[in-house]
Amino acid sequence: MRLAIDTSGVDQALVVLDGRRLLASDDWVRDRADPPVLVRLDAVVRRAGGTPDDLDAVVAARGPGSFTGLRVGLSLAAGLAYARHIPLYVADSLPILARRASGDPATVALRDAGRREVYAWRDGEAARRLPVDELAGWLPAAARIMVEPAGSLAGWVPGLAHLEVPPAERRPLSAALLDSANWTFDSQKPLRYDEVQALYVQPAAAEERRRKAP
Amino acid sequence: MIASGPRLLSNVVRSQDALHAPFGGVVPEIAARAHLQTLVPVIERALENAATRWEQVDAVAVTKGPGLIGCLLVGVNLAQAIAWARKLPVIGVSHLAAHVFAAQLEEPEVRPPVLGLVVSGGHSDLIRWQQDGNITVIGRTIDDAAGEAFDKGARILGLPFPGGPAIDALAAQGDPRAVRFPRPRAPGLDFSFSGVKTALLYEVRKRTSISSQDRADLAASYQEAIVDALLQRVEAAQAADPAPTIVLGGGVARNRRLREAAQARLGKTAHLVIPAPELCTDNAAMIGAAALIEWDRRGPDPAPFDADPSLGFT
Ligand SMILES: [Zn+2]
Repeated sequence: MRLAIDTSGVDQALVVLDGRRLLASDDWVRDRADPPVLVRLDAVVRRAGGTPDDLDAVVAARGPGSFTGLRVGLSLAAGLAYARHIPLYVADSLPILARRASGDPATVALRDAGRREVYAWRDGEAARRLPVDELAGWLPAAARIMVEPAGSLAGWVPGLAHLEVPPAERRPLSAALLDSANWTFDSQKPLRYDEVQALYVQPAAAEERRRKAP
Repeated sequence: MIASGPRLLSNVVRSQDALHAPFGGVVPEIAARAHLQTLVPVIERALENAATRWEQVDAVAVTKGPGLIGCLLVGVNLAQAIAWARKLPVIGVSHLAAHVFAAQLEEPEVRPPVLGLVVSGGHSDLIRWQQDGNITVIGRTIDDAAGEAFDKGARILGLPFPGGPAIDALAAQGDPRAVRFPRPRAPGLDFSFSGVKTALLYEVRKRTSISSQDRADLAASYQEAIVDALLQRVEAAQAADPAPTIVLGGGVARNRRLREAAQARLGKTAHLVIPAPELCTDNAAMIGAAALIEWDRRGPDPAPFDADPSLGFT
C-alpha cells in the first residue's frame, strides 16, 4: 500500500494506492478551520482497508506553493517514512497540477503566488516565479493551461483566457496525484531524510526590486 | 530521550546560530528549511545516544508553540506522523512552560508553588507556577525581550550574533559601573528594554572613538542594567507574595552575570534553581520534562493537533 500527499495548493488531496490501483482518496479545499491533515490521513488509510503498518512507500508534493501546506505535507511524509523505514519520494507540484487536465496533461501550469505573481511551469522546464505582468510574454503561443485557482487566467492575461483548461475538463486533484505518484514511484529515486526540502522558487526580479527599494 | 524521574537519557541540540549569523538575526525561511532536513537525523542521534530503539519508546512529546510557525509546523507534523505510524501517544507542550519545568532536570524534587523568570530572545516573562499546576503570567515585556536587548546591544557595539554570549564574554573584562544606564521603567511587574538600548546607542554615538576597554565597559554596564532590571522585578514579585522556590530559565539565563547576581540577590529569600546552561538554551530535554509533568495532569493529546505559534504557558 502506497500513499501520496499534495497539500501544496488551495485544492489538497490524499491518495492510497495498491500497486498502481486507487484504493481510497480524499479531496478537499484548504480552510483554516479544517482539522489537522493527519486526521484525514488516518481516515483515508482506514478507508483503504489498511493501517500505518501496511504502507510501503510515500510521496509528497514539494511545491512551489503554500508555505504552510508544504511544511505540513513534507513533514508528515518524512515522519511516516522514517517511522516505518519506507522509501520517501517528492514530486513537483506544478506538473501534478498540469495532470488535472483530462486527457493529455496541460502543457503549462500556473499557480497564484500572491502579490500579483504566479508560479509558472512549462513542459520540460523548471518552475519559476513570474510577475503577472510578464505572463503574456512568457506563455507559449499554443498552450493548454491549467490554472489554480480555476478561472484566474482571465484576470491575469484577459486576451488569453481561452487557453485555460475549462471547468468541464478539470479532474479532481486526487486523479492527477494518482498519476503523478505512479510516475514518481516508477521513475524517480527516493530521498534521504536530510534531502527533504520544499521547492523554493526565487522571487521574480520585480519582487526583488520592490524589496530593495527604500 | 527522557525517562520518568525525570531522568535524562540523551539531549541532542542542533543549533542554527551559524546559519543565521551572517544576517544578524534569525531568518524564518532559513529556519524552517533547515528544520525539515535536520530533524530526522537529530532524532536518530538522540535514540543512539540513549542506546534506545523505537520499540522501547512509550510516547512522543513535541513543542506545540509558541515560536516561528514554519519550524513548529515541521516539528508538530513530523512528531505526530511518527507517533501515528508507530501507534504511540503524543503530547504537545508549551515551549515556554518547558523553560520553567526544565528546573526539574536540575533538581527533580522542584514542585510548585514556584516564582519563575523566563528570559530569551523572544520572551521576558515573570510567572507563577501554582500549586494546582497552572502557570500564570504576572509580568511581561512591553517592548523588546531581554535576549533581543542583548542582540541589539551587541549590534550597536559591533559584536556578532547571537549577542548574549558575545556581551557576556566582553563584559567580563569591563567595569559594570563605568556608565550608569537608565533602569527600564514599566508599570507593575512588566519589563521594558527599548530605553536602555537607545541609551547605549547615544552613548556610542557621542564618542568619537571607542577603545577596546571602552567597549568592554559599555558591554558590562549595559549587561548590568538589563540584569538589574530583571532581578528587580523578581524581587518585587517575591516581596509581594513569597514563593519557596524561584526558577530561572530561557537562553538569557545562561548569562553569567545574571546567574551570579540572582544567587546573591534571590538566594536569601527562596530556594533558587537555575538549570545548567545547556538546559536553559532551547533544548528537547525540557520538552520531555514538560511532557512528564503535563502527562500526569492531563494525559496525552486525544486527537491530532495543529501548531500554535502564539501559545502561552498552557
Ligand atoms: Zn526558548
